[in-house]
Amino acid sequence: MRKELMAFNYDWQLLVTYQNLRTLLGNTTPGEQEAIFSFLPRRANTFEMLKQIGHAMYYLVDATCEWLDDLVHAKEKGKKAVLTTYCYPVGILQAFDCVPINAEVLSAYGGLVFSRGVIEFLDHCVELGMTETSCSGQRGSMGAYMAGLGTEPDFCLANTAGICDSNANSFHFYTSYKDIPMYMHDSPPDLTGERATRYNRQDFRQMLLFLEKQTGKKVDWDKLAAVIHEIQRQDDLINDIQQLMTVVPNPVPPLVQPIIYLLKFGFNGVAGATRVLEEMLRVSEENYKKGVAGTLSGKERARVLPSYIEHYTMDFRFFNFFNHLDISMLGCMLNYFFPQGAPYAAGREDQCYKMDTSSEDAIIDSLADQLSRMPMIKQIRGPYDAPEMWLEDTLSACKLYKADCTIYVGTLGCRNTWGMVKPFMQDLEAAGYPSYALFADAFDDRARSWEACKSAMQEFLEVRKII
Amino acid sequence: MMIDKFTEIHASIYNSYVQEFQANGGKVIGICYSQVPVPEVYHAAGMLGIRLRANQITATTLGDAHFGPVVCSFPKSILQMAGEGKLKFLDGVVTSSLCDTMRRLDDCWRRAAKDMDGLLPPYHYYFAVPHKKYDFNLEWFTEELRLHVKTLENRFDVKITTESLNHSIKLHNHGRRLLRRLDDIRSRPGVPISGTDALSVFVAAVSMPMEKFVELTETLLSELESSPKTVKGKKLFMVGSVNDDRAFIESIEQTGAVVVGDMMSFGAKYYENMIEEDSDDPLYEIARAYLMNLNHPRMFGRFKERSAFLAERVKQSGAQGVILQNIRFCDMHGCENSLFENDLTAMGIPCLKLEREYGPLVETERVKMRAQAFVERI
Repeated sequence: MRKELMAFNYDWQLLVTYQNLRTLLGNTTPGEQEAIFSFLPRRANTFEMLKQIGHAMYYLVDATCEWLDDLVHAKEKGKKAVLTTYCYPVGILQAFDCVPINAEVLSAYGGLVFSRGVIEFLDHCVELGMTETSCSGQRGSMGAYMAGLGTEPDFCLANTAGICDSNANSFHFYTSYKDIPMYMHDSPPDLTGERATRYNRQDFRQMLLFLEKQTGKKVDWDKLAAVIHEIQRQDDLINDIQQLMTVVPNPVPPLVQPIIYLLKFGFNGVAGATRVLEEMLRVSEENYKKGVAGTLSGKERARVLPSYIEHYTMDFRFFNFFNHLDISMLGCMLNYFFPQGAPYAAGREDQCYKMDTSSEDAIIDSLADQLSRMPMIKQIRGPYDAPEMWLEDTLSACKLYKADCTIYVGTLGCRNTWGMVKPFMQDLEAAGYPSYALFADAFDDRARSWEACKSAMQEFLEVRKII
Repeated sequence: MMIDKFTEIHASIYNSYVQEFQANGGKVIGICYSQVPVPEVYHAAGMLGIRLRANQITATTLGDAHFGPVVCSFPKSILQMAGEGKLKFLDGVVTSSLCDTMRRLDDCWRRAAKDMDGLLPPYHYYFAVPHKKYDFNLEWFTEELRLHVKTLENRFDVKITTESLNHSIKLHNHGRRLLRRLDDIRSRPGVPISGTDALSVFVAAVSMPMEKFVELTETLLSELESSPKTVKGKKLFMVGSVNDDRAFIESIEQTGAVVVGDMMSFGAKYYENMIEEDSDDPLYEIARAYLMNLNHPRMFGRFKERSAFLAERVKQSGAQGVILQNIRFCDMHGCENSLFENDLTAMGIPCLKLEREYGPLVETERVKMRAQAFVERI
């Protein structure tokens, strides 16, 4: 890795960047902000789209600063730093005074704000022995941490065994290389039913023993109850936003989608993040009352549903592409969490989790159920076309949100979904949804340049007469 | 020479022993891995479980049409075999969650069968294997095995009893002891068998009825123990992704080397699962032995255990160097190979990391060149 990249810690650089942004947003008039943003052409799309979500932008930056500050100063604050993955519901960590090092969230943050992206950190993992075909989602930030450019994780929690080998393998590699303890949850191929539920709950209890051992603490039940209350509040707000997405035109701005899952992944049960959701709901409701779409123009030409993840390299170009074409975005697989009351789960309530705080056992079971329904953890644990899995969830969402087409985006490390994406797409087509698999890497533009991705998607939309 | 018999068995998945077994009314089940699900169970039912492999194809067109582009060539090749009608003889197939691409073989095979009649054998079962070794994982695995037994009994009208399972365990344990003996012979100073030929023996162990395998292997071992022949070359040890291709090992050995041991699935991994005999609950013992000995990078978080085991095995084999190979897009073996390399190198054991494709070997010269340079380095 280049020497200059070793000069500052990755997490510290992110913290400083977001703190500067907070200062800038807090102490300037909207006119001054416009003037400042005009000097940052590489962030033009981001600012343009952030404006579409009102004050949620400020609250999100606040919550991010708070988290990064905790992370950078974890040792001074007496907190354990826990390396984890995006689909791990990190709320439980608050009850143990731990701070998450969420690999993919940190990769996405870096990819969005650093001009150079995270490519050199991705490559650093390869220099240390990871295969170049490993998932880029983790490697972006993991490379920095492997180089020692961040708060050293004390241990690792991940939940992707049985779900995504590429993901689980990255954490296996990191912890083996650095020789730190890891607890990896395992998932059976089905979600509901006595066996699967029992297995998931036994696994969660085993994890709690691990957590107690690593932190030297017992569960703080009061703290955990407060976290659960906040999770419920966040889930309700997300449900309300997702209900609004059923309306034509869709009043929800495009950036709301990734922010929803960012909050679920990085800020699960964190009070400071709840107001981001409240504000995004308010903005969406306002659009709804006006009868306008959440797109830049307020018009809606078509509705697209990314069937897996979205594209995260610099400046939210993927979202901006649709925004400028007046195409509403309907959220991707990462937006389905399956709490009770989720609109996309109507008629499939048995697949939802319910937060039950009536006893300590009930709390643990609720959290275990939440974990087993996290995006990807739910959908790709079994055959793609089995009940409760990826195809069923995608078709339900397509129908509910009145999608005009679907687009598959992944990373080149997504062995599991690339493994059967062709049959999956054929089934979506057969159900009447024009579908396109974008050969690209969501975190690494070198696999396919953004310009090439854009042309390919444009061609798809035109050829299939979506626009 | 007895080894020729093994080479013949190796050459075709539908070899003469499988044909004979079927001609006598036996049912044949294709399985995806030597360790999961378990051949003992089929044997106890009077059936034959053979491991799926794909050394008889020349392209992966059908595999490519169903799998995505960034996927390991092993499941693609198996699907290709099925598409070319070379697995039509199977009465059943059991896929498992060994790794992501192998479990997607289940999805792609079923999908391909919608387009091509008769592609999927009449009995088709998906077998889930835990990635950890806690008590609750073993409990799951045992249950999974019991459920699988029930479906076999119902579908094939057979009865799997405690007695028949105990008998099968004994027989398969005997087969394992013979393979261990083969590896002991290979680790002696004068190696009487090449790694290429040894591979055929390991492949045969999961490609024919165990009774016949035992018979042939006992004769082979007697021949080897009294053989004056020695295969010359630098002694190498093989680690990593699945390989049943003689030509791959041959390419390496042609550079002046002899492969004397391995930690691979068509190899020593098979004989590590010694099962408790004469148990009241043989299915539990089978599950315990298979899960607890599942020595694969899919068992996340157990690298140290595997690394120590590998070091011990390399030492026992007398190998002078280790080839750490993986099929492209097999990140689990690829990444773990790097970790192994760090540990082995620190112990002064030379290593070569090699990426390859499964199936028809089109990269012989590249493999040879890399192996040649490595052998010269030792």
